[in-house]
Amino acid sequence: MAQFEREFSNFPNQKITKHNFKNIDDSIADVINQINTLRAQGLFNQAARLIQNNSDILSQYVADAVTFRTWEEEIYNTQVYAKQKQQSIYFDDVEPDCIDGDVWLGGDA
Amino acid sequence: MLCNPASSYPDKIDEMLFFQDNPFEKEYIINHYENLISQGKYSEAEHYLNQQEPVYGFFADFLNLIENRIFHLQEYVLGKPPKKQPFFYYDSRIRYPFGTLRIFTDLDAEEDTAAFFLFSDLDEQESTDGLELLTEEEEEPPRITADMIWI
Repeated sequence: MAQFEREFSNFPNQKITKHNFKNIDDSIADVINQINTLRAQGLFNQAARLIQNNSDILSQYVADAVTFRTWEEEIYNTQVYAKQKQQSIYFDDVEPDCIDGDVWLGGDA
Repeated sequence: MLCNPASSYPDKIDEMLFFQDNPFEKEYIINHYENLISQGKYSEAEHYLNQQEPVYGFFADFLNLIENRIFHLQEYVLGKPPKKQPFFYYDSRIRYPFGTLRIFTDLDAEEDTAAFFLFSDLDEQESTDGLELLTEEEEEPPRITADMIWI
């Protein structure tokens, strides 16, 4: 049985933490402009540091690789949990891949 | 609003958005939006977008829509009841009280069981109250439901 992934998601112990995304507006303009200027100058390391230092604010405005990896992991863990939660009934001579609480009818008498 | 980011699940299945590239006739909307962004007019770009026909893009509404749907789905599955123990062990045979028995002669004539008496070893008459006939038929357990397995 698949195990929960724990790099970004803590489901089922905790539901997804929503970002409450916002489109970029003037309130974040200074930071965005600085990032764009640094990038335009080829100063990518400085741009990355600026993003890192402002990650709390920027996280509501930017969906990056971590965001998508988190979503993927949240969905994966939800699927694992739902599969575990659903009771399966097996009719099989050979012991199936049951998990706790499933029902297996069959086998040698 | 480009799309409704709220999720109605599980009251109803959320409608598919069918995210896609924008059609050519809406290109001017995207171009104008990106032009405003490139000038640093972020709030104006946001306002402009909200006044137009819906367009596809990685805007806040779409990103919130995804997170809200994941959140509601997780909330729903967390609320599901635990697995049931469906097995019900019950081993009892059907019993017939003596008064309910019908006894027939070899000629298929029904006997009057009221005229039957029970005697002890000392030839003393005993009551037939509580006397039962134990059959080989298995008795169905009480309070069994459709999702239980009777063993």
